[in-house]
Amino acid sequence: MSPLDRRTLLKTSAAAASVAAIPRMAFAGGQDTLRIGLVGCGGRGTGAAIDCLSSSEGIELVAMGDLFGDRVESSKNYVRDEYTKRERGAAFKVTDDTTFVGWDSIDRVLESGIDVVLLATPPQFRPMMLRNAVDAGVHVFMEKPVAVDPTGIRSVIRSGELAKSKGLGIVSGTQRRHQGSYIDTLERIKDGAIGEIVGGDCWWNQGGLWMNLRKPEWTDMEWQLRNWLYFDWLSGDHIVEQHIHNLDVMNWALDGFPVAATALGGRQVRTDPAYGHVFDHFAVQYEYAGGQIINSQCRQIDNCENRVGERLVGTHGTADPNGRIFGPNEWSYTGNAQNPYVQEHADLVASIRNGTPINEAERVAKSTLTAIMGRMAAYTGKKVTWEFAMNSKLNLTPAKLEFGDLPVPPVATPGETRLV
Amino acid sequence: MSRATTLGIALALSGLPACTTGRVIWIPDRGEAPAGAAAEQAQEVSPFSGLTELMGDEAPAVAPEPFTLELEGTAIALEMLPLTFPSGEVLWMSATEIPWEAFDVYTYGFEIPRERRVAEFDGATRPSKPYGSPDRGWGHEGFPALSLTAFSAELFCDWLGARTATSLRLPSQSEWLFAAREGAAGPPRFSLADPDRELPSDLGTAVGWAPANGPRTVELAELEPNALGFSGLLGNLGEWARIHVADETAHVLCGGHFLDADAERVPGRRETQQSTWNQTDPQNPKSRWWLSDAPFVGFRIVATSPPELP
Repeated sequence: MSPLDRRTLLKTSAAAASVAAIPRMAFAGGQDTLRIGLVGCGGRGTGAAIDCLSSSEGIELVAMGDLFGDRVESSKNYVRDEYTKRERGAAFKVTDDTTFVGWDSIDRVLESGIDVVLLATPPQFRPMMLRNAVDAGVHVFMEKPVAVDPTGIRSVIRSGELAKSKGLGIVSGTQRRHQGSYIDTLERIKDGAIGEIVGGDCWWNQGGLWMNLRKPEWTDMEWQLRNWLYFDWLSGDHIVEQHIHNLDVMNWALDGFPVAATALGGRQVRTDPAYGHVFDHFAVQYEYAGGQIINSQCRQIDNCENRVGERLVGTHGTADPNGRIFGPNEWSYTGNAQNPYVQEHADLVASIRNGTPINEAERVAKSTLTAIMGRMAAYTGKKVTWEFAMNSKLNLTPAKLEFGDLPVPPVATPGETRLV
Repeated sequence: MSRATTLGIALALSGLPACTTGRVIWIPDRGEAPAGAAAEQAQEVSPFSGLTELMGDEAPAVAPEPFTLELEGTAIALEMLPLTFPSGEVLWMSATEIPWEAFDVYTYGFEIPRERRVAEFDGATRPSKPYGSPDRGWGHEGFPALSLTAFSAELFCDWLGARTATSLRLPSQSEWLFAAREGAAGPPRFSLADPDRELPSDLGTAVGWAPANGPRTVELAELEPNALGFSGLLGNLGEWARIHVADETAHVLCGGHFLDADAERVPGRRETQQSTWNQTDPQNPKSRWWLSDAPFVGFRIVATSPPELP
């Protein structure tokens, strides 16, 4: 970071700290050094390690782990270079002795004397890793989604409660919660800017994503891990992996979670076995306790109309929660555009340092469950209630987590796939 | 453009440090030594010396014809209009910014039959598939492709050129300026009050630019062409063009865009890429193909000859 950037940020951060309990500007003031460990060294984990450093003074990255050696090495080199470019090279303290490869790298990273762990593996591993981190007394930044099935959701909620009793912070990568445009719009909506909310829509409709063609030397397990988007047990399907962002905003606006979901969905175009067994489109109708209906769509099909966002309908207007109110109280967000991917780390670090750590575990677990219940409704064709989903015994984790054979589950068939 | 040239550009790009000093440059061209490092840099890459080379008194032997650059079986059909320079040199430039439906073919491999697409798709040489919707919901078919890096734009030219047997590339800034100034010869005039500011009144008119729905792109068909037939040069998106700095090819964004005030959308306006243009890309390394925070960036292409006849 250039000295100019740093000066600017310090100045604005001081101004923001004086007016808000949770600083809205990045760059939390440094007190004690926080030692960071990263588990899951893909593009997002690497980004999180850099975002965390950019967010605050007094951050050191001391340990990194991944299941694959190639990922941890490329990430290490990249992060080291980036830290150096930002004149924070001394904050990169990862050595060969604190670089870990393998299924147990979470435990090795947690044993490296860290204060905060960044969890950025595919979501399958989040409940287990969160539990281990909380047991080890370590604060957590974890990417969304935070589980792929109800069993994992209940584990995350329990870990969140345990973290609370131990005074540990947990922030999740639903970065809209740390984005000024969303925060200010939702505040206005809650103050009645569009009246009572009667319903809404949300979308994550886009084309397909990356896929790695299978290499002959890969086992089933390695192939699936390196294409984790396309396997339910790893990603939760794209409604969970991607659309959770929009569903979380709807829950935020409605101050609660849906009581039931009914859904359509299928695997119509992206049918090649290279894409595992997930669906390529979902349309879910969520009912909330106040009778509101939220219609949700998500699609990953190339060459179709795209839309990513949310819309709320109230008795006195409508809103795009990303900064617009329409109707009698028309308004547009004009505040700062601080990078929310950095801000979420600044908020966590500041809350740890001021002794009131943020704990988002239960909220993000329930928003993840919102997406999971939509998937369950689409896969089975049945109506799924919140109570059913919360108590469901569905557990997608394979019997053995090891490199070897792992058959691909069948594509779900609505009307036939059993609701578990 | 040859493969070697493209690779050279790719290497030059990857070697560029993350740009934190990017800014708007108003190009001086007053024949005097500019003061200060910034002015020095601006002079070093001033396009007008190149523009002068394109001037001359050679008339082309045969009046060049426009053509449509098509890729069979796809939505690519780009109207290419001749640009005849006073030097006699001829180029064909796309009449509009490149639309999404053309760039999508490159991103998603639509020229490959669907049943072979999974096996033949080479992800390393195509844009990464974006996580989200880079069109921002402003419109897709008929709207200009945006948020693309210069690297993406150059490789699009290379990819489409190879498939249409046409020599394609991004325009140099001199060529781009010539089109934007509607063939006006000579250096631009500058404001007496602000000698670094090019006078809009001297330039091609920013025709047809009135976004009704706030700061965003408009459909390409809504833009009126300038006197040479090109539309959207001074509006809609900024457009990538090549410049040469110390024997290396670099890129500047030309002409202003929907976020700019009217007076800023003039041919001489250009910007260099800034670190803020992709700051919220959550992946690291950040995308070589997409600029997560620069929805004002687009491009058009030039052909140095019409397609070869089969």
